Parts: sequence; structure tokens; C-alpha cells
Amino acid sequence: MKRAPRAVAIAAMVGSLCVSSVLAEEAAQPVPGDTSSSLRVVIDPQTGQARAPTPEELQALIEAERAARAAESSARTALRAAPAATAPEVFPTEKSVQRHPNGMVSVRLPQESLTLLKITTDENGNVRLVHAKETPVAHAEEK
Amino acid sequence: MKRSNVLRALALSGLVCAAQPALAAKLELINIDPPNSGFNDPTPATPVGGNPGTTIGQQRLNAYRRALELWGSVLKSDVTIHVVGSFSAFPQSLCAGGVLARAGAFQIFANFPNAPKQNTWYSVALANALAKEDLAPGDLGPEAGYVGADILAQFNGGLGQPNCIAGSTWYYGLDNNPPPGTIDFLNTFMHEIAHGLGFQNFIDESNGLPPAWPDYPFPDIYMSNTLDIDLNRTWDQLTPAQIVQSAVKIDRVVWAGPNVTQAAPLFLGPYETLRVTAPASIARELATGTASFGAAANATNFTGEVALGVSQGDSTTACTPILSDVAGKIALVDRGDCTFVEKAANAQAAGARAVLIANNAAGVVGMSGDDPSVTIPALMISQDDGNAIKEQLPGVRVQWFVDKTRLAGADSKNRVKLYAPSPYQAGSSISHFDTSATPNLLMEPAITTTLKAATNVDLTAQLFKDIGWPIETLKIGTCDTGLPNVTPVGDIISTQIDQCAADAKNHGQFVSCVTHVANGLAAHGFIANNQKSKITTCASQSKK
Repeated sequence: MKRAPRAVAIAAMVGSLCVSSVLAEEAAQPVPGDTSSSLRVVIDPQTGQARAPTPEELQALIEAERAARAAESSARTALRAAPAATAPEVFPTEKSVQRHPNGMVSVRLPQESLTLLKITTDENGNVRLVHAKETPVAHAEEK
Repeated sequence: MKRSNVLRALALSGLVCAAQPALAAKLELINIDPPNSGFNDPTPATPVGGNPGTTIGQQRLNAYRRALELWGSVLKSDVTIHVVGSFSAFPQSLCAGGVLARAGAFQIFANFPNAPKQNTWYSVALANALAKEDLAPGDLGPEAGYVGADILAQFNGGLGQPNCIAGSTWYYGLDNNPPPGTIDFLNTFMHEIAHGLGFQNFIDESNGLPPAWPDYPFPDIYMSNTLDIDLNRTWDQLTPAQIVQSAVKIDRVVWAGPNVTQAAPLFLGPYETLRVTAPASIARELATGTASFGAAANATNFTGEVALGVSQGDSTTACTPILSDVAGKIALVDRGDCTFVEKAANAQAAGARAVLIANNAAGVVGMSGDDPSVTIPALMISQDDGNAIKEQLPGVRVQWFVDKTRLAGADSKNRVKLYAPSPYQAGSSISHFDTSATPNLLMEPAITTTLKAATNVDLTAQLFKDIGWPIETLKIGTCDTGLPNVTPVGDIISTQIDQCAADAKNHGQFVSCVTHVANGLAAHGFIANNQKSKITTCASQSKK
């Protein structure tokens, strides 16, 4: 298998080309109490298939994760320093997959997996609660 | 507050312990709101609908926790379900989009200990219940990314503010009796938390790919019960391309789980709709959308000859007085240019016995509006059906009919339909029951005012059984009856026991009331006659 250039590995991380994004711990910095292992996969630009990263790609992924984690930490510190009155974002923006030592597999779901409940109001003030993001299920009256 | 109301409020708040069922599945709120916001809002409030809170924050907490208690009384788990919740105002970007709430499971698991099906995803709360251990232990706060949390359910506390869906307010009563113009929080939350408990699939229906593709190309347990009628295969057996196609098959995707299917005839009403009876060339059943105004359609008021409603300038939208002869007939008019109520009023003024409104787009929709002076029934039909009828006028007859051999919202085998509109609706398609169900179901995509989730979760509990949730038993005090706490039609029996506790003035009255409940359950066939004593014995042993 040809080795993908380093730039591809970075693009795979930053550009969301990772099949399984990687928020799990690094080997050098294990999360206390976490016994799971992480899975890192990149898309090979030649074949379009998922494969394990090369050492260079892996290093690039780890560096990108470290930077992202530092940014998250800064954001959390800012949040604690000045509690906002608006609802915080709780889910991660990207999913992450973990394979556990006992064979169990888990996925931390991303923000886009959340169900949104929306309101529509017609000219007469009647409200409808719908989950559809663009096309309401039951329509308001129209003018 | 009268004594009975105080007792009722306390009972509903879980404070009357003597006769309260013990709630085994514990759903615990992780309140992430900052001081003075959301659940901690100190704004004074008047107790309402059995909710004794005297601040907005208290009322929110009471209603939120009541919903958690209700699901906890229906579903059984030895593992605490941690629900991260907030009621602070949503960011302006979400307010502008009319977003009231967002909810879902934090994680999904496969191949965990005791998993009923291998290589199948389960939501974390269900996986924990089946594994009988916390598969996702850990910190519940933001520092570690809520790694130990199971469900997120955030509600928009800014609702009704000038810059956030102005004019709307939440109703925090616990009785499903919201005043007009308010939104019943309890119904809404019961719906949203059900998604987090597993009433959803985790596939991307826009491309048919499961969540950890391609490393772990597993279906989820919801897909194992989602059946494409045409292919006669459940979604866990379909290719991604087939799933994409199936997701938009209106009326052709059903829930195949045996518990829902068995309970459907007990809850759903008979199938009824409109059909063309003449001429034979276009005779067929018509998909219809109902109206919130006017009379309900029936065989008397919606059977007869169809006539096109034409106004000045040959307009057929009925936005001005109808000049054509529709007297005593069913007026056919087109959607657009004015309100549905105005069209119906003009048809009625012209003497029509009913009005058919042909859509100006594919499919049909429900029609809202309110005008007590409109008394004739109104239905929407699709644009295609409208055009087909117009081409045959005059001489078209329609008939409203009821088919008691079929169920409203189910196929011919009593399998309840899932919502599969075309085009696909993200966040809505498949992970809800279809809107054709009558009576309305808690897990339809549109939450309607007829729902009574404070006491009844209709077919939702049966769906949870189908995906593997153990069902909690009815307990009175510390006494376990061993009987399911939810009936096949979704009645939460413990809420009836709560009511007995609230209303009874002494132990004798309480036992008598509970006996009446047990007799009712037996009369409906939900329990056997010899099982009634299990309930009455527990009631007799209670301290109430």
C-alpha cells in the first residue's frame, strides 16, 4: 500500500474525512480510569478506502487532536469564568468510536444526532410542534 | 388550595410515600443551568395544574422530574439513567429557527454483556438496562465532556421573550390541561425523552449509512423492527441504497415489532377516508388531510356530488364569493391565496355541504384555523387527485367511508405505520409513528393537544418492549404486584393509584378506589380476574 502524504492525513482530520473521528485518549496521555482503546482510520486518497494511518499520519492526527483539546479546554475555562445564561452546547461536533477490551463497541454521538423540536404559528395564533426542520407536517393557514 | 388539590399536587410530586409506587428505573436530572437561569429561575409563579412550584424554576424542575418519574415507572432498569437537562434560553440562532427543544442519546453501544442481538446498536440507557451495569460510567459534568451522561434534553427557557418565539409560553401543569395558546411541557418532554430512551434509529437516512460505517457497519435495534412492506424485509437487512429509497415510501414502512402490532387493535380506531365512487375510471381511495375547523367528516356530510367552486375572474381558490352552483354539493377549490377558513366560509356561504381543497403541491397536509361560524366539513386532497377529479367534472361522486376491518394508522396486518414522507425530513422521518394514526399517538412527529402523557403513553411503551426494554411492575408502597405498570393501550396504572391516594380520605377509601381500578383493568382484559387480588392485596398492605 502506498503511503499517503502527510498533508492528506491532516486533511483527513481537519476536513472531516475521518471515517471514525478520534476523541479518545492518546497512548501517551491516557484518560484516568478509561480502559478503552481508540481507533483511528483515514481515507486513502488513492483507493478511497478506509485504512490504518501511517506513523506520519498518526502523528499529525495526534497533534491535531491535542490542539483541538487545548481549544476545548480554553473554551470550558472561559465558560466557567463567566457562566452564560444561554443553554450550553453539550454534544461534540464530531462522533467518536471506541472499541473496548471486552469486545464492546460504542459511539459518542455528534450534535447533529439530536432531535430538534420546532414550533410553527399560523396567522390565527395556532401553534404546532413539529420535528421537521423545513417542511412542517401539518401546515398553518396561508395567505 | 383545597385539600384534595394539595394531596393531588403532593402525590404527583412524589411526596406522598405511603401509597406511592416505588419507582425502580431512576431517571436523574443533571441540572446544568447557571444560578438564576432556567431550572434556577427565581421568578415567582402561581402553582398550576397540580404543579406546586412557586417560582418558574421550581415549576420547571417539578414538571421535568415528573416526566422522568413517569418513564421511570414504565421502564425497568437497575442502572440510573442520567439525563442532562437545561431550561436556559437557547441562543438566538436557534430561537430564530423556532427551536423549542433538542434531545437525544449521548452514546450507543453494541456487543455489550447480555446484548440480545450481536452487532446491533442500542441507545446507552437501554444498553445499561440490558447489561445491568453502567457501560458509560464517569463524570457527569462538562470538564470530561459528560462522559457518564446518557440522555440530553434541553428546553428553550427563552420561549415567549420578545426575541424568541414571542407570544408562546410553556404550560408547566402536570395535568395535560394547558390553556389555549400555551404549550404543554409534560407532553412535549415525555415525547423528547422517549427519543433518548431509544425511540429513534441512528442511521443517516439521507445516505443509508449506519453511525460507525465502515468499521462497524451495524444496524440498530430500531431498524430491526422497521419493515419495508414492499421488500418484506426489515431495515437491518437492507442495503444503504434500499434504505434511502425505503425512507420516503409513504404508507409502506411499518413497525414490525410484535408488541406494538398486538396492541394496535386495542388502541387505534377504524380506518376511514374519502373515496371516489364515480366515474369508475377514477374510482379510488383518496389521501386526505383534516381541518381543525368545521365539522368532522362523516358518511352523511361528505358523500355526494362534487362541483368546482369558481369565483369572479374564473378563480378556483375560493378567496372571494363562489359564483358557480355548489349548493347542496361538495365544493372543490384550490389551495392558495387565502386562509383555509376563508375558503370554507365562502363555500358554506354558497350553500356547499362540504369543501374539498386540492393541494398545490404533492401530498396532503392538515389544515389549521379557527372560525366557529364555519360548520361544514373540510378536507384536503392531493394536487394529482384534485386534477383527476376536475377532468371528470361534472359527474364525480365521492363517499366518506369507514372500514372497521382496518386500523387508522396501520397496515392490513395491524402493523403500525412509521412516518415516511417524501421528501425525507431529517429528524422526523421513520423515528416517529405516522400521522395517520387515530387517536393521535405520543410519538407522532407533531405533538398534538389531544395527548395525555401524564397518564397514558399509548403504543410507545409497547415499542419499547419490542426493542428490548424491560417493563416495570406496579408497586404500591413496598409491595410489588408483579403486574406490568402499563397496559397494552399505554395506561400508566400507578397514576391511577396516585389518584386514589390523592382522593381517599382514609385507608378504606383508598383500598376501595384501588379495587375499582383493578376491576377496570380486568374488565378490559388487561389483567386476569385472578390477578386482581395482587393489586388489592398490595393496597391493603399500604399505609394509606
